[in-house]
Amino acid sequence: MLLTRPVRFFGGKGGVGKTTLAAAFGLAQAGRQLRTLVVSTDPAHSLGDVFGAELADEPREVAAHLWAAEISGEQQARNRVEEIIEDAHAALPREVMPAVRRHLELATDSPGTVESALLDRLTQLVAQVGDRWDRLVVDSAPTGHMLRLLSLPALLTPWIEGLARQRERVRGMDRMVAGMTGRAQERADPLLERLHARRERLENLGQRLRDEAAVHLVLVPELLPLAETLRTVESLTQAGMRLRPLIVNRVLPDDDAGLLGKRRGQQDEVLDRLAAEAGELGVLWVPMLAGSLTTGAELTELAEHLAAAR
Amino acid sequence: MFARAWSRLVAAWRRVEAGHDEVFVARWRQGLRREARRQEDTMRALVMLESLGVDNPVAYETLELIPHLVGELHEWHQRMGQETFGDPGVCC
Repeated sequence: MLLTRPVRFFGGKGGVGKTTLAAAFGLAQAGRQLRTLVVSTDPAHSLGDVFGAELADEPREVAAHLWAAEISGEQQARNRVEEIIEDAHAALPREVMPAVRRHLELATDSPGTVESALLDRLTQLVAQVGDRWDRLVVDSAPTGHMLRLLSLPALLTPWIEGLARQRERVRGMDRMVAGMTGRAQERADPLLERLHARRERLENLGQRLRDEAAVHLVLVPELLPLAETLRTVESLTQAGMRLRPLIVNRVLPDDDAGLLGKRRGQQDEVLDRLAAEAGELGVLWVPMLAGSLTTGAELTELAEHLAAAR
Repeated sequence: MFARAWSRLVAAWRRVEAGHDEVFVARWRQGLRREARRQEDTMRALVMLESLGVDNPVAYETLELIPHLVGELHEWHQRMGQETFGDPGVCC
């Protein structure tokens, strides 16, 4: 059991400040001399805007000890199709290649492919933790998306297991027939090997996420996000994920005599309820800051408020 | 005397065995082969669900099986004596 979990997900509804908080958290980790990669999985990337840098799939150094990347499921799926076609050229007759390409393209159009591909890319990055990175901070897409991403290993494993069993049945019967005619010969089955490898990869990821990852849920102090956040807490806990205290972003000052002071009165109600409902999980307040939160100094200020979110 | 009786007994046993194989095992073998092919077709259908117009939840995870399955299909239709098979895009 690791005391500090090296993989962190920042999740929550759209527009609550996940990206900025993930960036600030990453910056704080990097400030402790830890090699940190902040990666955005949201199809509408904004991580690059926060760091003021052009980001791509391959991690790019944005500050000392700090790297950032924006990964995309579509891109990963396209790369994978090209890899598979490349491999198939060696093994298959040329005349079937157009059909192979067509079937592959149809398959990548299936719903769920983009998420699976995204998870696949994330798996590669998680595998580098400990080696290339000390910390991996994932700025997730809005809640539903993140939940699905984190539950994919558990969802896909039984299906792949079913396919493998199906394949084993065929092989078993072939072997029996071969045995009867006395020409039994053991040959490795490439399909079965690939299915097993795939299942193992998913299982490993599921295990690593449960053991080494933690989720920081972010919300703003308003009534509506509260219920959704609590539902998410429940789903994640059921999926075996570890949670860190809820981060309440943009808490208004309570010493303002004007408009903000009045709004704070309303926020207090939500904050009280949140503290009661969060229970043991705990709540961390991050005040509303004046700046646009895109410069290093402003992010550092934000990171100081996050210090308790270790 | 005993040896001859024994060898006759063995020969008779062999004949019974051969007859049994012919009547039962061959038929059983055929049935098994057919079942194996049926299972293989099921597998192909499961991996290539989207070519049948059905959503496949694990399409991405099974992408790398596709070349193998198309390859097997190709070998099969050539064994069956057909140079080309299906609409363009199904095989060749």
